[in-house]
Amino acid sequence: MANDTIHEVPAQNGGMPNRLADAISPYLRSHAGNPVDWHGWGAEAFAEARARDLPVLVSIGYSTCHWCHVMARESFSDPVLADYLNEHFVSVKVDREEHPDVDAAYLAAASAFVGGLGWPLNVFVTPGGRAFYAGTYFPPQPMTGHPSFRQVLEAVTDAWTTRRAEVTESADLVAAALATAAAEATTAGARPDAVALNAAAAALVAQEDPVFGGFGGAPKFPVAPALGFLLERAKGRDLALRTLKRLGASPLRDPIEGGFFRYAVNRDWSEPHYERMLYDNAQLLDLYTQAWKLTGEPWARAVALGIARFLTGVLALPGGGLASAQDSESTVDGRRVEGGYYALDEEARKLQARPALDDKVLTGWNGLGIAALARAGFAFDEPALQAAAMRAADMLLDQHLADQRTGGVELVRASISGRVSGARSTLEDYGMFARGLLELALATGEVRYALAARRLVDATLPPAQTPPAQSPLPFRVPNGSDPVLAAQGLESAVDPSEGAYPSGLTSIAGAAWLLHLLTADPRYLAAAESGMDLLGGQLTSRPLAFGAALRLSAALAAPALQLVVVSPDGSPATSPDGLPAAARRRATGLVAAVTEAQAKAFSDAGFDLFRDRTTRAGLAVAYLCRDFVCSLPVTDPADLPPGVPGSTGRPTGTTMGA
Amino acid sequence: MTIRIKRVYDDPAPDDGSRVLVDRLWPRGVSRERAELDDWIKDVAPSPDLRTWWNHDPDRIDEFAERYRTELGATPVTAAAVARLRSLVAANARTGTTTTLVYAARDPVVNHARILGEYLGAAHPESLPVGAPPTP
Repeated sequence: MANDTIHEVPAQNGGMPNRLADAISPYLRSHAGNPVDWHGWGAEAFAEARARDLPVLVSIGYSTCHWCHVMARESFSDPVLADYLNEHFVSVKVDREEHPDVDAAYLAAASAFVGGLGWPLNVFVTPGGRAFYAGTYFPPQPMTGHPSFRQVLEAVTDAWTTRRAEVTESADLVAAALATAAAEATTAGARPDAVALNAAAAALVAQEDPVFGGFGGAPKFPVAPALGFLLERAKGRDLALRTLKRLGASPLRDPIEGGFFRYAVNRDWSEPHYERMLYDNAQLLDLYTQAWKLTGEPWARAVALGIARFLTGVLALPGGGLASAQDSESTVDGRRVEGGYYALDEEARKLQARPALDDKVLTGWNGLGIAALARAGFAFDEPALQAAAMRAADMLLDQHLADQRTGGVELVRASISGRVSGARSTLEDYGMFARGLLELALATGEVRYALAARRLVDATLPPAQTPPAQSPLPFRVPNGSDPVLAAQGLESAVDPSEGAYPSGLTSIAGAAWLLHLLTADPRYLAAAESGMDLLGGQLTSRPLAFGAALRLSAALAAPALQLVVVSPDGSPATSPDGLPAAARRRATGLVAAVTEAQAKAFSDAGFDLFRDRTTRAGLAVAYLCRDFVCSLPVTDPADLPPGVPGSTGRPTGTTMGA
Repeated sequence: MTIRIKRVYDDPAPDDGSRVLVDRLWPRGVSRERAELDDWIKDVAPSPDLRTWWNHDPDRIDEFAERYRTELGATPVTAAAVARLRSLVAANARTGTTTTLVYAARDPVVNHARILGEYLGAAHPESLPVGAPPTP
């Protein structure tokens, strides 16, 4: 069992586990043995706080967060400290991967009080849900200018007891200011035009570390979304390729199992933090696949296939989905060490247990994995990768799509071993999963995935007859936002922030845009454009924080290239110089390679790009269109115009993240 | 957003916008009328201990600034005061109104109001992907 979950901690309170023992989240379960009387996220904790007139400690972390575990060991396992917490606070543990909306809402509120926040994120909140103080890691003993956690708790108790009016007044002011800011965020700005996009790319180029590659100083992250934006641009592609090549040869990559670590603590990438995240590896797989299509370089292929091996060999779960992450610590020869497993060679590793997985299945992140595996499988002609993508997609369609009997569409955010979390799904889940399904449909020719994707996107669009004034947002979560946050007035309509992966808004807008390219339905295009309009000038003023939105905005600003290759039914697409093979290598625009029967199935289902797409005289035929205006069909690959993005002078690209 | 600082002994002007006193003690020899304040947020001022240690020594301004910024987030009471001031600055900014931090110290550079103004006005640093660990 020790390897099944993250940091199984023995009970420190006389063997009596607290409420977290049955949590979906491995991170929460790792606190089940704490003497702290933890609640999971829900209305009960706030009701208890109201009844006992106490503040709430909302303590947010995630399984691969090193300092979260340090604090759990040092403070939350301490019976004396736990007694104080239990007497003066109601304590709530939150996995930010399970509840990203809770994390975002409290982080935004807490940032008005204290700067420089991160994780673990410990927020002190009124029973009504108003944040009034926060911090990150607190040591068990005071350290050079930093108070101990006990001192912080005592200061909060003192403020709650003796200065409550001041504290709650500030909390109310901040909540009102955030509500105003959220309302303003739904006011349409303007999408960046070609000049602004070039300026954003130039700003990113200027931030490149000229010595070691990547952006900025330390700590240093790959920043996959920004690399994806640059990879699609004539001025920026060299930087992106240079960075990918360097990252692939750096200690950030584990050459044995093929996965990338999350970040390096120093500028030259030499000291990684060893956790491996599904979202990083999915996005990087897609970038290296695209790099290979652009260059044909062996390094790009080798790194891409290595990541695919990691996704399918390490993160893939027996039940069909992909695990969220793999821990940085593991037990090597009986001792827990950070990164120790990765210092071993291949043979020595076989004798040790692998670092534990965070084996909860998140819908959105799995969508990223499905898209990347589908596209890599198509590009490299590796059916096993497409099969892995299909296993994950089928599992999600089977277990994460609820309420089908009522005709509604409701996604589950997270599950573990078939047990479903009560956490609400977010736009990220709808957008990333729909995108993954569309990419899978294009890679496999199976229309059922495209149909499922269309149902998901349709569910997020407001009813067609809704007047725009009543629905300023182009997308909404069909089943509503988290009810506890909503009761606290904290449901943020749109969270545009983009971290290491695309925001919910950009994800769903990207899925809608791809759906438009397949259906020619203007409603999807309009929704995608309004989604990016909302972001306005933020994109170009903070390009490193909005790579995926920039990439989608660039794609929306350029004519879309659409290539459909139709092969005779039953013909294996093995010829290395035939049209299907050319389609696999094509780096530009939307690409679909289907049989004649598959084309008809797409067309019959309303995907108009496939209408009347047939073979000629038993030969495969390529139909190349630009914004739905198509050239004469060709049967010889030599007659296809070259497919290098930017060769028209304008950026294109329908790869994941756009 | 526009944040300025101004000595309480200088005459108020229309383009001061919203005037907020950020000293812990009321300045000597100034009447409430003459100060023309919209608010007084005393808990954003340096603690008495820090102020005594610093003694407005220009040679120690950098270390003072560092200790002062740490203090601003160090307790729920100072954090609440900072949050209140931030809300005020944001509300003023929405109506195009300047916020002027008013102080009594003699030197327009060697004073805590300038450091506070920079702290509030500092753009959020270019955000990197989530999860950069806090430095303990």
